[in-house]
Amino acid sequence: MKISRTLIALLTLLLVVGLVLAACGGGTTTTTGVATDTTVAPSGDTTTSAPAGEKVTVKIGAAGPYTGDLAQIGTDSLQAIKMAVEDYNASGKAGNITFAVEVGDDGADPAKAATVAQRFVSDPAVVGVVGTMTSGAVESQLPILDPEDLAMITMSASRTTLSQGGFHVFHRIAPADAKQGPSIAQFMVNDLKIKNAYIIDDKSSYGQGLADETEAAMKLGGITDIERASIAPTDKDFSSVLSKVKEKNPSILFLSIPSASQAAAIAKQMKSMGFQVQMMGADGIKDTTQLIKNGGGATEGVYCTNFGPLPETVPAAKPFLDKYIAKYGVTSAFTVNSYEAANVMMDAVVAAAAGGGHPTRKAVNDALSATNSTGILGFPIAFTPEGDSTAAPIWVVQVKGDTFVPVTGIDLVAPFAPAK
Amino acid sequence: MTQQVVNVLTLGSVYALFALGYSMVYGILTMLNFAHGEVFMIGGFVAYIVQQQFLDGDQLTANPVVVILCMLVAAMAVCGVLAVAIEFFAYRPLRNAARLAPLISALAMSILLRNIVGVLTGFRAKPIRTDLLLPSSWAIHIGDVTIGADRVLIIVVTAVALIGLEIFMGRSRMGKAMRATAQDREAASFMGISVNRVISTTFLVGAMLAGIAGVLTGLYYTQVDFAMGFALGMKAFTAAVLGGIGNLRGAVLGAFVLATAEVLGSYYISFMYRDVIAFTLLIVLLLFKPSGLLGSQAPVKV
Repeated sequence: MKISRTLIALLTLLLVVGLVLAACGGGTTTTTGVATDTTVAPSGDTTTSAPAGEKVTVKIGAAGPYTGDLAQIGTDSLQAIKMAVEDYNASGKAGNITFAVEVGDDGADPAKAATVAQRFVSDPAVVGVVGTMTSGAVESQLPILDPEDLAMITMSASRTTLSQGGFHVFHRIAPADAKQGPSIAQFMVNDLKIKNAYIIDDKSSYGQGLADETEAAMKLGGITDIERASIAPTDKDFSSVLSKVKEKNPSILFLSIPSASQAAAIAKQMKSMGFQVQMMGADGIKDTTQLIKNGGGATEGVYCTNFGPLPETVPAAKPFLDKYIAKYGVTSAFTVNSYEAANVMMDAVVAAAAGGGHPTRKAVNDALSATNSTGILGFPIAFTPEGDSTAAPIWVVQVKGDTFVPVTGIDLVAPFAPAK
Repeated sequence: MTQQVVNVLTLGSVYALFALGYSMVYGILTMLNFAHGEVFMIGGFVAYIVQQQFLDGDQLTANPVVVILCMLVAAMAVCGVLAVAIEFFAYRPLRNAARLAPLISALAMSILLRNIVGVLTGFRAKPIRTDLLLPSSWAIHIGDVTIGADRVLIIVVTAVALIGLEIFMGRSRMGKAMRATAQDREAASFMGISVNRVISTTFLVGAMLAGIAGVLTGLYYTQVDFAMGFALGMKAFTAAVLGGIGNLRGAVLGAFVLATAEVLGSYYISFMYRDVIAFTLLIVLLLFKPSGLLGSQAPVKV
């Protein structure tokens, strides 16, 4: 029986290492999903310039967490990207170009994201990348994409520093935390008139980054009585942390987490513990199914943010929303952004290919940086030289009954506005 | 403090029901059944499916107590059959193979089941309508502490299940046969005990407990998802090791010790470090008592 004890000791060690890694926010519990490649590169001929008028197939790399803990927002994003490509090909806007999607699943894991980026770079048919979705993954892809001039546009990665690395291929239509955090803080301080706050983050780069920005901005706004706690992305039992919230009884509980299902669970467990605190989250938890439907009434009144006005209130978004909901039932936080991001990228490819032939990656990147268009998000898309979105207004929305209703658009004022 | 005691009892109960399955299988086969976590997860989904049958919009079409009983019975049945099938197809053919073969087979079953359920559910969490099944008006109030009906249910059902298991193991013929097989499989078979039947029963009973745990956890978390078995399974397995793997009372004790360490650690030290605290405890304990709290030193077979 000596072997079995050694075996147990080994396995225990494995467990410990695994849990410590999981605690570091790596999301190690991702499943071994299978990435599906939907297209096969047209054999070789795409690298050379095709004569004008001839059909050219180019590929858009779609990157995101299509399996694993964040598979839900990832899957919705991928479906939107594929739909955008279908619609674009059918619209005739593409001229002699036919778009195809090359799928790269990174499971929100920076290491896997790097592999995905390598694959995109080494496939000459890929001229632009839509995604990836999470900040940590974007961070690991940028140094690989940048030397190859392969443009990326992310629909959701919000870590402020992403646009500060000097990577000319970086573009995002999501607001940076540096903007989202102060907007949330301004709403809580000026509109909700909070006296103190409790912040829960999930130690992910998104959750922690946003929590830091929000806390700093709240302090600028004069709220200093702020307590913080962290949970892990895999947690489901929040009784200990909620015991602390209950003792503090803050004016607001700010959930700096990307998971709407965790937010719903927190609301429901709070209700079952017999107390209620006003809750607010960011764009990640704005999810009709996971937050409202699965919340079973406990999430009534929860505030969260939306990037731009609610898609349901933007007339230009209606055809897409109708089509998407008819096919897949529900949208989640980044579905509309993903559709928009794919369209912006394809516009850039078409602009770069003007004059015929196969667009070069550099021309696509230049065209993308020069984007100035209004799509389905309800505000114009243009980029600063660093790749941040110039407009990107943040709206606060609230759960009312079985839907979200707009509360207010946030126009940053002092002391929350960034110093120029 | 009352709140923390309740937290310990709830968490410990779930760990205990779950850990028993690991311990029972290890006791008889000296094998780690990694797929046990997925059996537990499927128990949670059975609860979801049963709930959907009784759900009409935002209303239950039957008495909540009846629905919960249906959930428990259905989960025990489905999980029991599933585990026996897993044992028959994935473990039995490998019983006399090298030690690591069934371990890998178990890992494969775990990954397979987890991903099948993940794909079927679109990797989304499914809601359990605890608000309808266990209305908050059923909660118990002690001072300023509210104990939700979900927690009361977990503690009561676990207590009943553990007493039932104790009687089964101690009094019934099959329980005796199981203990005998755990002691010495060969000798037991010489005495006319059908070892295959004992092993199947072990998987059946362990899975039924996991099914109960799955339903209760679903009610407590108010949602079920494809990865829940994996996350909790590591903890339950730890509880089994802590108590002395193979020893059933040890598994229960280990579960409550682990829950106490986690709850108190996360409350008084840091929520983030609760796993670190729990596992440090495990390592320290195993250093001084390698066989676990109640584990006996296995006799060396010559």
